[in-house]
Amino acid sequence: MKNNSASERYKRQISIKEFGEASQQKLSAAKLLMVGAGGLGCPILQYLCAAGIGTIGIIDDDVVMLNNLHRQILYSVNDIGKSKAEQASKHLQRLNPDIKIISYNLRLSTDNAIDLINQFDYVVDGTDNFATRYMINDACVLMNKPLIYGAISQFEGQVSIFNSRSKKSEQPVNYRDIFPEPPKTGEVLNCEEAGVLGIMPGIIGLMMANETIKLITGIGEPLINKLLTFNALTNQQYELQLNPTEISSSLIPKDINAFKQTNYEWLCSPGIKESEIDMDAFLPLINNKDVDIIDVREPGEWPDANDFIHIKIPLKELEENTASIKNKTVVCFCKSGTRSYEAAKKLSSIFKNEKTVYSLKGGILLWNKYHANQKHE
Amino acid sequence: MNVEIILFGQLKDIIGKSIINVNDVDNLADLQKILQQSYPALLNTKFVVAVDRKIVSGNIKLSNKNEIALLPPFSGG
Repeated sequence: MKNNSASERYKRQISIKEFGEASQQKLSAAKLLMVGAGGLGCPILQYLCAAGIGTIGIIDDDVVMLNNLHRQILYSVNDIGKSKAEQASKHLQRLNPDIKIISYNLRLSTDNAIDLINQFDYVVDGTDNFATRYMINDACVLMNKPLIYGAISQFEGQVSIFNSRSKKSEQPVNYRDIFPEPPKTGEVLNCEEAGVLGIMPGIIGLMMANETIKLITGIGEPLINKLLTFNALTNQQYELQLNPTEISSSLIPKDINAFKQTNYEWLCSPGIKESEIDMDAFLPLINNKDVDIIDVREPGEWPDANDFIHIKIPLKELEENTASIKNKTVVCFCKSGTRSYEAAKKLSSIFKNEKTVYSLKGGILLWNKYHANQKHE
Repeated sequence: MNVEIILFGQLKDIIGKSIINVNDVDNLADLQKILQQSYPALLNTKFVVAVDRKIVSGNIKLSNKNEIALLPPFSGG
């Protein structure tokens, strides 16, 4: 232990016979990368930071939105519009100043994944889309890093540990041994379509945090080569035994160079982070120096957008004018939301992982109504 | 022969139940065919089949004792 305050801080878990001082030291020596500081990431980070994991990296390129707060309870209304990675790191460092927290306000991509993962011993997947999930899985296989996996769908969640073995004779498995290839558009609902009860990522996130602690300290029976499905409506659990498959190894990029050339967004089209946002989500993004708002209508179209700073690039001229889009978060708008949706799709395919592009649902017409209501309140 | 099938995720919405029984089926390929005919939306849905808590691929013989589960991938976080 570093000092007396540290042993006081962790006293209540050190005093558990199966855990003890040795486990605390293993946590303290561990370096863990949390990918995504959202629904799953928040509870995982809160408990793992509190438990005393020595070094925690947090990567997320998203900003906090009002509709996140029902499940991402590490944040408060004061964080809206700000970087999740940075705000999470700030709050967590206050919770536990004795550990090292590094925030990366960027999106994990095939360009940065290898260098980043290389600096950590464990990777935890708290992302919300298949593109990133397959990318993390493949990178962890290539780099032989244990991956703690979890995902939710309405009232159910899945948890597992990949690239680990509980005994030497065991062959490690990965996500592709369960689902070899990403689903195509329409084959699964995304979270936005399906909805999520706030408590679900809390339950599944804490199951992931529990598995992480068991894996690092070697206590209990971690979910190595097992996939656990939990149903919050019935409290039923279902455990699958996983085995390595040939198809899985044939689908993972051969080496790091092949990995860097893989287009994961294209492999899993529903994972592209191009989506509509509503007025409540839009509000914290206006007059925000880190956000570009683009009017994609033709010059002279009515009504004018006078309530927020924006740039004007008509839909047809988007491709030639991408250089004038500087920020990582982009919101497109038009009169009613149809053209801006097309624009967001177009920009997402151009910028890929570099930027998150949204389309303002309902367009300027809905904004004017919404804004008028707000003024009257 | 009658087999019991446990459903997960959105498959429960497609089929409308969390457990179903299928009669007169003795292998996995026939079972898939029967399910797809009864629930055409399954054709456009990604899932894996587990028999006795292990993922299987290809056709295998089934018996009354087998526990069958259909699991879709989850992406939410």
